[in-house]
This record gives sequence, C-alpha cells and structure tokens, in this order.
Amino acid sequence: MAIKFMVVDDSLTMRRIVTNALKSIGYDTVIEAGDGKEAFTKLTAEGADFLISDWNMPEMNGLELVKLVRSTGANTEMPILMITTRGNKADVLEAMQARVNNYIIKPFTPLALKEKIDQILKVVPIEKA
Amino acid sequence: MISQLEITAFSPNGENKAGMHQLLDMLRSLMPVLDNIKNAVENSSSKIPKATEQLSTVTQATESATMEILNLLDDIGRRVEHVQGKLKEIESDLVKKQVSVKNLAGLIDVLTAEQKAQFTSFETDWNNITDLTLQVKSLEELSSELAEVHSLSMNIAMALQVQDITSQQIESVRHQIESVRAQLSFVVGQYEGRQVVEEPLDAVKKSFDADAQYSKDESRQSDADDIIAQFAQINNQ
Repeated sequence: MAIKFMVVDDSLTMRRIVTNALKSIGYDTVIEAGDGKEAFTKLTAEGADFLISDWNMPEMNGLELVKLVRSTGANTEMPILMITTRGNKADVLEAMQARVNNYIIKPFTPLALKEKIDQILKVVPIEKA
Repeated sequence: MISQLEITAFSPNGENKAGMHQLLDMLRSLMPVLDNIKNAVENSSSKIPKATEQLSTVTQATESATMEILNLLDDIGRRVEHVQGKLKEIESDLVKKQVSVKNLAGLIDVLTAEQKAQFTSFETDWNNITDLTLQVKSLEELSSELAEVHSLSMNIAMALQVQDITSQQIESVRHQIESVRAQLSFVVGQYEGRQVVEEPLDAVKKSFDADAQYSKDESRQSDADDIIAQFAQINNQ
C-alpha cells in the first residue's frame, strides 16, 4: 500500500512543486493543505502517513503544527519533514527541538527530497510502506 | 538659534519680552513649513496602500504565471511519457517480428527451390530493414534523449521555487512599507492632536521569511544536516 503524504504550504506554487517532486520519486498519494490549521483538521479527518510542512504560514505556522501533531491526536509519532526558506542554525535547532525528523532548506531538488524521506523512513518505518 | 533666543528671552536685564516676541515670530513662521510637511506626509501615506496593493498584484501575477508554466511542464512530461511508451511498443514489436522471421526460416526445408530463393531474398531484405541491433540502439538513444527532456523539464519546475521565495521577499517589503505608513499616520495624528488607530491593510495577515533567498549554495543545508546529525546522535545514546 502506498504512503500517503500530506504537503502543507501556503504557497500554491510550492505545494504543486513538492507534490510533483514526490510523484517523480514514486510517491503518488498526496493530500494538501494551505496552513497549519487546515492541515491539522485534514490530518484528523483523513489521516496521512507522512507530513511535509513549510514553516512560515498564516493562521498556524509549521512549527506550531509540528508541536500540535506531536502532542495531540493519533499521529504523534508520524514522520515529519520541514521544507522551508528559514536556514539559520537557530531555526533548525528550534525545529529539531519541536521534533521534526528532518529539515530541507529551499530551494530543494527531488534528489534531496528522496534522500531525506529515505533517511526518515529508516528511522521511522511506516508499517504499510 | 533657539538657545540664543532662550538666553535673550530669559536674560535678567529685562529684555525677555523682546525675546519672547522673536520666539513667537519664529514659531509662526514655522507653522506653514510644518503644514507643508504634514501635507507631504499625508500625500505620501495615501500612496502607500496603492504601492502595497501593486506589490500584491505582482505576487499574484507571478503565481498565476508559475502555475501556467507548471501546467505546461506537466503536459510536456505526459507527452514524453507517452512517446517513451510508444517507443517501447515499437521495440517489442520489432523483436516479435524478428522472431517470426526466424520461425519462418525454420520452415524453409518444406519449400521448393524457387520458393527458398524468394524467401532467402525476402529474409535478407527484412534483416537489412530491421537490423535489430541497430534499431534497438536507435530506440534506446531516442528513449535516452526523451529521459533527458523529462529531466530538464523537472529542473525547470524545481527552479520555479523562486516564485515562492521572491513572493516572501516582496511580502517583507510590503510589511516594511506598511510599517512606515503606520508611523507616518501616527506622526500626522499627533500633529493634529487626534488619536490614531490604524487598521491593517490586509484582512488576513500573511506570513513570510524576511531572509528568504534563492541560492544554490549548499552550505546552509550542510549546516542544517550537521545539527540534525547531532540530534540523531544524542537520541541514539
């Protein structure tokens, strides 16, 4: 059974690019959300196996989403990859402390995305993968 | 000049009245200047919403154009995959035909001498036309070129991340301009003796990274990877 990804970004362009990149590396099942609030609602209602989130978003930002997911609901241990423009060491540190599994700084390549997903899945295997 | 006036106005020898007059005259002369400044500030402030709106339009336009480009790239990708599929079909068909000719060749013993000669001629022509190695090689080359086209399309699509990054930079500029407008409104309000409560321009506050940059420098990702590795090490201990 395929891994179901959730891609969260307020930029329509980025959601499309991440989704296309996922498809190019063999992951076809993707749902999308435009901010953290919408993502958490969809995650609760529809579920997903793997979360890919931007940081800077309106309503609820990516870091707040990660903290919420890690503390509430049925997805507290789900793999989380952050893809963001924020590249300061302090930002990375803050994200890791919030328990994201890995971190990509934009702009990224499909190869980098594949490497990070593979690294995460080695540590956090998804049963149905 | 003011300090000199102050000294004159409050000098102990009784000349303070003349000094006060001088001060008031100077303040009166300043009023039109201050009014002009206020008008200029108000005029400038009134242009800011239009400027920020235009910046939003730029973001919307680039996003819309980016979507069109992504749609076209998707279309190219689909067509490339379609042609790649067709090439595979042709390759498979060639192999099947070659096998058929070989099978026919196996029946050559039951043919008359004349038929044998005709068949041999046909087989030679067929093999010349469908030199399997040559044909397959050509097909592989075409397939490889198409894969390269697909890869280049993907690279173009990935480069469009620049739209998101520049839109965050534009949003940052918008935010700064809006801050300037709020400050100017506050100053004008104070000058007019009224309390200024400014409404934000956007109903929905947008989020952005003021330091967003489109760079292929891998050092930032490398630094991030070091931190991630350190975290992993700590977690494993």
